[in-house]
Amino acid sequence: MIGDFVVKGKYVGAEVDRVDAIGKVTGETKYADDLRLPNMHYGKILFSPYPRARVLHIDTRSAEALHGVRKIITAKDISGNNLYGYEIHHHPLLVGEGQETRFVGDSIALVVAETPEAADQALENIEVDYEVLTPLTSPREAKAEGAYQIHPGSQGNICCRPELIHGDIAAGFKNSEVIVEHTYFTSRQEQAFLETESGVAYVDDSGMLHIFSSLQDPYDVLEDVCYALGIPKSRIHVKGTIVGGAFGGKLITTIEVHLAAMVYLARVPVKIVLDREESFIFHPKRHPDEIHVKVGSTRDGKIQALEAEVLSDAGPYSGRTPEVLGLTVSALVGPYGIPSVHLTGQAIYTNNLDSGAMRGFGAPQAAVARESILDKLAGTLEMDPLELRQKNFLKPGQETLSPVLGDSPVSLELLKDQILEKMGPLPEVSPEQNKRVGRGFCFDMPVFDVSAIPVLGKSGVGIAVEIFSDASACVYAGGTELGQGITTVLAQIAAEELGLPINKVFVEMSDTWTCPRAGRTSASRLTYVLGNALLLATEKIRNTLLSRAAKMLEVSKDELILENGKIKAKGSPSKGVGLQEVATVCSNEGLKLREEGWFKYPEDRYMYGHTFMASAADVVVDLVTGEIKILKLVNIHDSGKVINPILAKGQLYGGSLQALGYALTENLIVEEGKLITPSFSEYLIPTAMDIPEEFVADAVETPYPTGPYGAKGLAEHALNSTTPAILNAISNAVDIDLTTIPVYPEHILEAIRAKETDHQ
Amino acid sequence: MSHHNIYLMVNGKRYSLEVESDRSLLDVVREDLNLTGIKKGCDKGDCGACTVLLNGKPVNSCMVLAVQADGKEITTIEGVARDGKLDPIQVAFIKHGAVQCGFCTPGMILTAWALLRENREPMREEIQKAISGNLCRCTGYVQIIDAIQSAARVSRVNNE
Amino acid sequence: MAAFDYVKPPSLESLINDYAQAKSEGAILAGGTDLLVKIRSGLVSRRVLFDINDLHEMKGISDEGDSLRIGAATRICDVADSNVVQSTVPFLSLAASQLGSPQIRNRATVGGNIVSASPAADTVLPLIAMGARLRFGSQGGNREVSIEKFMEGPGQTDIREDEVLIGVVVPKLSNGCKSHFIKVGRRKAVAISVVNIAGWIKTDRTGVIEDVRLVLGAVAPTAIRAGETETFLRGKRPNEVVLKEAARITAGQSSPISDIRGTQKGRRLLVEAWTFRLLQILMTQNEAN
Ligand SMILES: Cc1cc2nc3c(=O)[nH]c(=O)nc-3n(C[C@H](O)[C@H](O)[C@H](O)COP(=O)(O)OP(=O)(O)OC[C@H]3O[C@@H](n4cnc5c(N)ncnc54)[C@H](O)[C@@H]3O)c2cc1C
Ligand code: FES
Ligand code: FES
Repeated sequence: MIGDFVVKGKYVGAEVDRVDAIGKVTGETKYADDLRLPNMHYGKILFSPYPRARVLHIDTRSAEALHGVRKIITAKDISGNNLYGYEIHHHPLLVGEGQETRFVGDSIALVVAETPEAADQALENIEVDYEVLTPLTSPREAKAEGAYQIHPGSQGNICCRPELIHGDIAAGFKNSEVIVEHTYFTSRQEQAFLETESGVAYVDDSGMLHIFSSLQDPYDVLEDVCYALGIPKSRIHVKGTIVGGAFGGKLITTIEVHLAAMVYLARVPVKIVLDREESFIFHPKRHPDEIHVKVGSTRDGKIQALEAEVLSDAGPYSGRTPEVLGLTVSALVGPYGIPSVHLTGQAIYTNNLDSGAMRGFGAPQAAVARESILDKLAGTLEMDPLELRQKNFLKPGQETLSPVLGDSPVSLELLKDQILEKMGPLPEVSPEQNKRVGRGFCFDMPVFDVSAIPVLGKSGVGIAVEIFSDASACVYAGGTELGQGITTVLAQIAAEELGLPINKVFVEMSDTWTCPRAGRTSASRLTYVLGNALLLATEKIRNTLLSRAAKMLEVSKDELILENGKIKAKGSPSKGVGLQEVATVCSNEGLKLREEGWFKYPEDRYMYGHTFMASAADVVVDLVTGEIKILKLVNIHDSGKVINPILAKGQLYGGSLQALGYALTENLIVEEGKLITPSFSEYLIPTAMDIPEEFVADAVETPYPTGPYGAKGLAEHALNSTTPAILNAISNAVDIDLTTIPVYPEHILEAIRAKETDHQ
Repeated sequence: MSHHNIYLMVNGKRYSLEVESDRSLLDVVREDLNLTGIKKGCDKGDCGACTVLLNGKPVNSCMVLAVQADGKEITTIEGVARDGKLDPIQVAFIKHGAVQCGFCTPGMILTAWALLRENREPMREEIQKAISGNLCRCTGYVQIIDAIQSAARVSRVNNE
Repeated sequence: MAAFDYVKPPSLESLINDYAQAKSEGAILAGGTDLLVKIRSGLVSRRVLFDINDLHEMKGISDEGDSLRIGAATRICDVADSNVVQSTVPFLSLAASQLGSPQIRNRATVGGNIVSASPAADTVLPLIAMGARLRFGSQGGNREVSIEKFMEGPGQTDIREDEVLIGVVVPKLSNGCKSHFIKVGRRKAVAISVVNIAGWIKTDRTGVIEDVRLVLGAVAPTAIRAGETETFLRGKRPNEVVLKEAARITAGQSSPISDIRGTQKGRRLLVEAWTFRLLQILMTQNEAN
């Protein structure tokens, strides 16, 4: 951990071009589907047509007989556990005869064929007899007494039940003069990455299985492949390819176990690429939640008590649900100091689509409920919503609730000032136009994982750096480039620390063979954990280089600096030696020029650092048509030192627009366990015409004591706070309560009409 | 299923090939010509990741049969940089942070390229409309729009 | 994707002959933006597709005095950008300019939009409002039918197995008429209409409505004329109360269903709201538009 902050280095803090951009703008970058292997076959998965059915009989004979079909695989063929899953291995690779399916993304059979067309034909020719059973399609139904158990032993179909208690909640409400409560419903959000799940794999002559796929966590994939198929870990090599977007949807193993089974059993290289509908069905989504919140406050707006209950649809498998719901619960508190808190959540197994990680990990749902109830409270108190928030801001030194660490300098007041300045006066519309403007705010405390737990409780995040005798360097980092820009951030740090031009620094990522274990790429953790590990590794190399150069130059090591590919003495600039020369000497002498850095957090448990975010939106709502226009949307983020301002802004804009979609258009609809919005023409993500008229992203940089150069994680963060800002702006414009997202114009019209009839 | 002998002018190069009637231009360009820069995001015309220029106009190559492109001029992302030199749009995409995961980028750049050939000084709204058929899930579009505007400026200066 | 053969007839005549021979096993391939999607998702399967993309007899927009003739294979982008359409049937160009995405408009055709007969098809609304007539060719000769009669239900039309849509004859808006088209989608681009509305209005010198057409999409099995509203408005001097009432009457004529894009109740609210807005716009629009 580095204590002294580089305010602006040559690379750190500078608007450095993405190191992976050229391949992406020329089309040369190879994504998984762009890879081709000799004798490559095509793999397809037969999914269950029913959310819940017992598989009675599978007949693959006619499919096997088809021309071009290499192999059909069913559960019988799998010699390992035929199960995988994050933390709990209860996701069957293939549902076999006699077993029950749990959702429409369950796999029944695998096909390996010479062409995609032959594979499709084989799928159509596999005959399966099902006994169709009634699915559980809502958490309420599933937790009711007598409901069947989706996983044997999961009483009440409970997947997890987090609880957060702080202070004396009864006393808190007793001290409250005003109490408001309400229930909010959030939709199922699809990550909608543009590149569907895809990968290629083969077994080499020595029996090593190589998997190249679009993933977020190569280490977890390795665990899953080993467990499901019984292949020794030492015989598995997983390499994450450049990913065409993930947003949490590729965090747990996607098609890799299927792919490995195909390659192993068919004994040919195989490619799998899911089509869009399969992708929508296959990976876990953002949990749809029902959140009941109750908040008590004094008449002058000091919040005394917060109570909430979250009911969350876990879908069929556990996966990341415990972590996500844990975060929903803790994020209900937000950046506020509340003396008494009692928050509970229940995630319930259902036969709907699976739920899991999506950008924000449950915090966006919490933010919707929290910031909406705050505006409602402000309305009841007849107080300005911003003033109410300000009164309750977390104060410097005030404790945060575990697992959120309270070691961030609090900058909420600064953010508030900045956002007011950026928003300027509320625009006016002439009253006869039948339009109303409104402004909404949201303050948030988005988290990032600092705890360096890469895989199943084993602590420590590693990275390796090697400097070569030609003074070029390579960083081996086990994180994955999803588009967020981690490759560039690591190159910037390495170039800064090793005094090299950035074009001499290369970064290899997401490879279980070459990169030390670094764990998942999620929870906005890589800049922090890998950045810290990288500083430890580069420090060792610097030491080696400087010590050797000190001998060569006959000066003390402390007098040397490493800069622009040279090692120079501070006092006498003429005294210096090229890095290449030093590296060559070190290399010839067998000095160690490849070093690992292992970052460990003092405590071995999940913990989150946090940033601060302020968002505000101005909207105009047409009272006649209910049409919502976003005039202005501002996000200001304090994520500590910003390593690369262009990349950071990109994360803010991108996350914010996903949140706009969450507020206004996106809804993955599942009826009776079946997906009825299976394409991009039904599941609508924002287009370039849907962005706010004025869209601002900016940063305040309060250095974080334990972060590399004072940096924190930031990637997910704008998703949490934009949705509530928009919702509050709409409510503010037309004075209605919004309880369900997405908000459509007709909902606004209905609410306005209901209010009018009430008044009459 | 019928087979057809066709020729395609792709990025100025002539390719003669035999295709089956039901194959999309997208699949043939990616698989037979091994030009994998264009991407398949949906195969249904919804996302624009597969955009190519067909006789100069952006189309979704998943919605065109390869046989329909017989004798036509096709530009893919691989044809945008000339003689190893990046086009001003490509440079602007890099400079403005218009690229994240990059999966939408080839299609986006081709659409922008076609726009700037028709309209040397597009307004922001015109850019937004022009790229509205190219979904991007990562960037929030702001830096893409900035990049296209800046590329238009650079191209105007270069041409003057 | 189900396999199919591909034929590119060299002339309209040979198209008509080949198509007739293929019977129900053949389909016309225009822009393919509807057909190929349906084939790929297994909703439609055909043995052979007849490509009309380069059939010049079926392309282009010609000015025939009181009306325009638009070839069935004319692309949506060409309708949107056409000067003569913009000046004589402006709301048709407006509808075309909002259909799908730029890439879709560069392929999709007017004929395809009509024959696919989606209740939400955007260009169909102004065509109905104008009383456009469809011209079909077949071995038996040509046939003309009004577009309103042609539409029978979602994806269902009065087209005969061997008929090819050759073109559309669209009367021009007469002098003094004002027209408008509104598309209500869930987002601002690439959105199938949740509701769409097209209309034109003609007022006399004193501001009394002489004639009016109002067509609603996505709220009934086909796009429908709001006949009661038209009757109600004729002879009236519009003011806010009249327009509100007209909007209310219009909502009553819609029979929307609930689907993924909207509920029945929501759609009715939207019809009412946007009819009012459309009429407002028509009343305040200056004539040049
Ligand atoms: C992403 C996307 C967005 C879309 N958005 C919209 C939208 O906003 N609004 C909208 O209205 N539509 C939309 N559509 C639907 C479609 O693009 C339009 O209906 C388009 O006009 C269809 O034209 P086409 O030429 O592509 O038809 P094709 O797919 O070629 O044909 C459609 C049908 O008509 C038949 N046909 C075509 N031409 C003739 C002819 N001359 N004679 C006889 N039969 C014929 C075909 O056999 C087929 O059955 C969208 C489609 C996609 C993929
Ligand atoms: S792949 Fe062609 S539009 Fe999506
Ligand atoms: S950069 Fe990822 S989709 Fe656009």
